[in-house]
Amino acid sequence: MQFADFNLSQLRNFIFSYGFYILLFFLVVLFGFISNDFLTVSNWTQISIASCFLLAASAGLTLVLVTGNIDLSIGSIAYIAATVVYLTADYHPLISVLSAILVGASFGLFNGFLVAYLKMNSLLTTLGLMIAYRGLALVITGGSMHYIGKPLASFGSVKFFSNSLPLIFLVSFLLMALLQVILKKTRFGTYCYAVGNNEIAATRIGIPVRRVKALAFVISGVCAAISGLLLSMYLGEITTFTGRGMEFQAVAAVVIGGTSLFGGRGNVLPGTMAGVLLLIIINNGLGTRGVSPYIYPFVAGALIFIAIYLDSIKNRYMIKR
Amino acid sequence: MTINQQKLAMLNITKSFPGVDALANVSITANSGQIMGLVGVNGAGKSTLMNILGGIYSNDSGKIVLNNKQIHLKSPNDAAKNGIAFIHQDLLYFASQTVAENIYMTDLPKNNYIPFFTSKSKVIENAKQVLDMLGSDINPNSLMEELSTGEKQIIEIARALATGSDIVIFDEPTSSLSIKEKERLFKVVRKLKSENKIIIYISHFLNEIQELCDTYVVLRNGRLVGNGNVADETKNNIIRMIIGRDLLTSKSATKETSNETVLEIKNLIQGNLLQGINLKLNKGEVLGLWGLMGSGRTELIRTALGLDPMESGEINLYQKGDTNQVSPKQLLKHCGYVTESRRIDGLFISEPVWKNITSGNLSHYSKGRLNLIDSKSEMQSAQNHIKNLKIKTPSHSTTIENLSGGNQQKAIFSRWLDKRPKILILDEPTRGVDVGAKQEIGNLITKLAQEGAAILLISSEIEEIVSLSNRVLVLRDGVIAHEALEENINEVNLMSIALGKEQ
Repeated sequence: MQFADFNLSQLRNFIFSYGFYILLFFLVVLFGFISNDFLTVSNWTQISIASCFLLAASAGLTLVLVTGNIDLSIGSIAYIAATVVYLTADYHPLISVLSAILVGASFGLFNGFLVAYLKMNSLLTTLGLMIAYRGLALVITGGSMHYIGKPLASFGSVKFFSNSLPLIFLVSFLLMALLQVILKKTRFGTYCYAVGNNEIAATRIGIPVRRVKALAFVISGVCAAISGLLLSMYLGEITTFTGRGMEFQAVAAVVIGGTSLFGGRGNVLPGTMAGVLLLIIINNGLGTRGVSPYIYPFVAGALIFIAIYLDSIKNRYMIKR
Repeated sequence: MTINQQKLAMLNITKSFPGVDALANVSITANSGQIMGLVGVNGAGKSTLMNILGGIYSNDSGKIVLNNKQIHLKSPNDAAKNGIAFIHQDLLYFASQTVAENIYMTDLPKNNYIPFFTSKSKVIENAKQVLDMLGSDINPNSLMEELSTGEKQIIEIARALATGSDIVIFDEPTSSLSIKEKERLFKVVRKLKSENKIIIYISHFLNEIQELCDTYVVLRNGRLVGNGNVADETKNNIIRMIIGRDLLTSKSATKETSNETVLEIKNLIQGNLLQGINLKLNKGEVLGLWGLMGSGRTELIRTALGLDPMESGEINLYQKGDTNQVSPKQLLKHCGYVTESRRIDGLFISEPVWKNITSGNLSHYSKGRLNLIDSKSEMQSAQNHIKNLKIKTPSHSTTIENLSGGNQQKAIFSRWLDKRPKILILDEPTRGVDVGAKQEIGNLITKLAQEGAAILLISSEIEEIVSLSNRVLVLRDGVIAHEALEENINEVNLMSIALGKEQ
């Protein structure tokens, strides 16, 4: 490498693009050194289980952020989907799964209708609906814990490759891969970026802006529902904690993964996945070292702060150009 | 060989906005394979006419006929369907996406093998073809945000071509281009001409019209005042049509000014917009800064006051015999600045009149050990200003939002009268102000200068520049093209220089 050619703006671009991957790698190495339990197969199985719920939800959220909107209702949709699983516990598992996904899609469609067609601000709309959806689910569950059907719960503990790769993680990963392909390979995906980049221009040249936004919310709702489904399958039960606070962790993970809060930039793989893993690994790594669990929110919060600050710098820099 | 001849006619187009007749009975025709130049000063109706053709405005009366068939343009989409592409001054693009995607955004080619997928290779191949056709070597894989303004413009032209437009409208396309980019653009426009498109080219730079266009149309005050072949008309005649009178506006008495310089700007550079500006501002004078849109007029002020970054340059302040070099942001602190758009960055719109008047000088009203603001004396002096400037307001505590434009502007002036800075920068001080208030503000400017303030006046109204200035600097293409003194300060002279006529 010629160092003479390596100037400051290249360095800046490099850090903007790859900074968090480097941090992730550095953390894995660090935890590997300071903890004997960290780099074991069983611990990584644990990490994959801990991350898969957030992975599924963040994948859909990425699309919404790319269009320049935000969806804070995903945690509550996850809870509603889990509630649907409980309500359909007496039927065939497939019916539970399909109805949970259908419910997620309809709630997502409602979000999308309000934001795209009634032009309501997505942050406040989905913040309000986050509370309303959770309230609805609480009415149904009566605020208490419920077991879900045995057949479905048994899928939650299935693992492949000599008990190391959980089915629920595989589902999340495939979902992420699917969304990445949608973003990069389909017309809808290209439109998502266009709408997030410049909504006025998108409207002027004839992109169906409202439909694109609404569909992004539908996909986000479906992903949230899958996340709730996986969680209830894994636990075999639903509690009032299902999906609570997930929206904020997901927003953090997506932004850490390089998707811009201003829209138009970002990806599911590897971006959002790396963002989720970073959050989960910090939690896990600190745990295997026996550090007080109360330090985690502070570390995660600092990380989110840095990620959002970087996003804002990056965006300012782009505008200037 | 048959050439598909196309003909576009806009007949008897009339359009009025509340209080303004923007277009009165204007008719133009354009033929394929020709470039039509549309010229006129700001507000002559060029943009209104083209916005009607672009489907952005609807005309009150008159019709648009394409190839002997009347067409109705109710939206930009209608215009696009009729093959009309409008290249706006502010470009429409998607920054984080590739050039190829930007060109074919609404027409992404399908993948032959996988349903729902688009074909990356095909879109790049198609984009390459269009770019080749335009003689451009921009890489279709680059991201839009990596391109220069000129390149972005070419991508937008390529999009127009890719969607099969036959009519291309350019709205002042060179206003932010470097000379090299300008040449490249002209090449592309000529290429479009050879493709037998109808091209309408809006500009107020006559050299561009002469270099590029076949026919011209001159608009003034919403009326058609001349058209014909560019080759048949002299530049002077076209200038006369644009300005509309040969008479000189009489100057309101030029007073003697001192030679005591208060502010000097040396070699100010910012990209292509400002290419080395030097100016001196003297005590007691009104220095007019004149130039057309895109000449660097606004950019000069914004850069000198630190609102836009300065690439290089030096700013010197002369106070009581001392010379201080200051940064643009420090200069802002020394100046009174009446901004171009008072509602956005001039007024505290929901505050009462008295607070708006005293807000520039609060340290003067702060008293006691704790520096608390003495509102009583604030109101007292605000009332004096209201009386002196005859600001029409029910009371000093009325919310300033409820005042007329002229009275709001007078309130802003009294803000600076209260502080009495040595340097006053006035950017469009009478914009949106009625005739009476305009006269009063004009008198006030003259009076302030006579009392010793150094005033830099920027205005897009040439009458205002001519009647108020002691000295006028004419900006063109980011340089000071001319300094006009005394009898040379007249409309014809200033306009000719701004339009590009050499002295």
